[in-house]
Amino acid sequence: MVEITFVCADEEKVTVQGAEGDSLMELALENMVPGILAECGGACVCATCHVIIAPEWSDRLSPRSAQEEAILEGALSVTERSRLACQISLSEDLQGLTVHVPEEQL
Amino acid sequence: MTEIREFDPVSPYFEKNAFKELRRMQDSCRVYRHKGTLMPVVSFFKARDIKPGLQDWQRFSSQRSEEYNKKALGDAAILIGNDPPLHTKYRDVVAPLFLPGAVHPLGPVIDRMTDKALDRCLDAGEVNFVTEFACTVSLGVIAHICDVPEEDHDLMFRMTQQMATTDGMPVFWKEPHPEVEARIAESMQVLGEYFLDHVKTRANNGRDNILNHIASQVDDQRHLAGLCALVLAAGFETTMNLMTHGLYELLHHPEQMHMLRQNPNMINAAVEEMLRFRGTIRKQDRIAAVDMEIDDVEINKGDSVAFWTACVSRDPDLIDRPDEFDIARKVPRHGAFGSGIHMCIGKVLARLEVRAAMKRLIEKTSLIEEMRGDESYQSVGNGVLDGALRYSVQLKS
Repeated sequence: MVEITFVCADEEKVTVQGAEGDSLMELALENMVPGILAECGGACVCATCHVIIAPEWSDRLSPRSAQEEAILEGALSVTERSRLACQISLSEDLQGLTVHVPEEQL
Repeated sequence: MTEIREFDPVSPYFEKNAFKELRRMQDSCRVYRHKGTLMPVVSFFKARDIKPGLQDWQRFSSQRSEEYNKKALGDAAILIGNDPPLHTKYRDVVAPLFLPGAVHPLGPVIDRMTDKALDRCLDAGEVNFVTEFACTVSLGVIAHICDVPEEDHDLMFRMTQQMATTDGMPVFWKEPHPEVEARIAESMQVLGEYFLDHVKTRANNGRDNILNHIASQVDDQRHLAGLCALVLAAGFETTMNLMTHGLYELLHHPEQMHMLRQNPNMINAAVEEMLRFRGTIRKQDRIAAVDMEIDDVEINKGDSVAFWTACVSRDPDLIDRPDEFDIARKVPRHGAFGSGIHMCIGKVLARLEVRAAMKRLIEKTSLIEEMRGDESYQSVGNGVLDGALRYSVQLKS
């Protein structure tokens, strides 16, 4: 199992565990992480599972695909460390990953 | 097991009692096989089935037949009526034109159209809010980005309304409706010729418009005509009705209207609640791509599947007090834009437009009231697509 910490907009931390191969978005939905809407359910078309990767983890994830780049243009408050949770697959390399949930997704 | 009383979404009863009927079905079963329909069709009512279903295009296909398109949307069913790879090909053409980077600069256009609509309606006595306000804004905005001149707006309105008024119903028909097929064929013929000429004459005029962006990437002329008609129709029909029904709910929940008037900055949450409570598209069609059995209901490959997204928006497993209109809800969850690869491409524009127009409407009026008593509202007579024909109100500055 891979342990992930979501830091919500109100600074509340939600630490949960998910199986390798699941997406970060699925993990958030299963655990009702506040602020992750994931309206499209992982089709990479809506930008409502936007998260911001903690600085110390930002260069340890696979790069964004062209599709993810395009859809992230649609998110609010995008930073260099912004990612779509649906595009991040849990793996042992991500053990202990921390991501921040933005204040708004819409 | 108790026999479930017939659920008939094309009946006049359903049109008048849609949410009551959907609640009855949501409480009765997961899946229901319709009786006596020309096409074999089943309906799903629970969020836990609908969301995964919409996201699983390999089991629940969107690939419609030519025969079905004659009954619904004609060639304008391109993209929404296709699976990958054709769907992906055209989605990649159209979706970038509606990403926030492209849509947010339209703020001043939306404001201009809203002011135009307010000029028509403010202190003008009884007005039809659907045509005078909501259509002026929504058709005005999409026509602007498509470079459709004002003198053609009426044609666009009539032809797209002709296609939309029965949209969603054909899967439940118990008898053929050749008159509907004839209307759809006429609309598509008129719109197709119009748009192919439109993009041809604008190919080199130097003005930017999204239809020519699309035309530069689509060779098939029938597909091109369909995509143009789809963008135009989907671009205003849904937002026009959302504004109308949003106002209807505010007027029928005066405490909510009062709250919004006191705090116009609640508009984003208010629009999410309008989408949840009165989203225009109540149901999405799919086709079973494999045989399956769910809760003793056999679903055969080729059967039509109706996913009632309006039920997602009112599912008690997902939403607290689902039948209450409450603009102060903190977590916006609804099925108004669908889910999966066919999720609404225009959702960013829809939100931007309805938020801006309704906020300005609230700020520029001191009072909005219904006229004609119980006769103030008239629907298009389709309970599957929540369409308004007339909403008689007066707007006071």
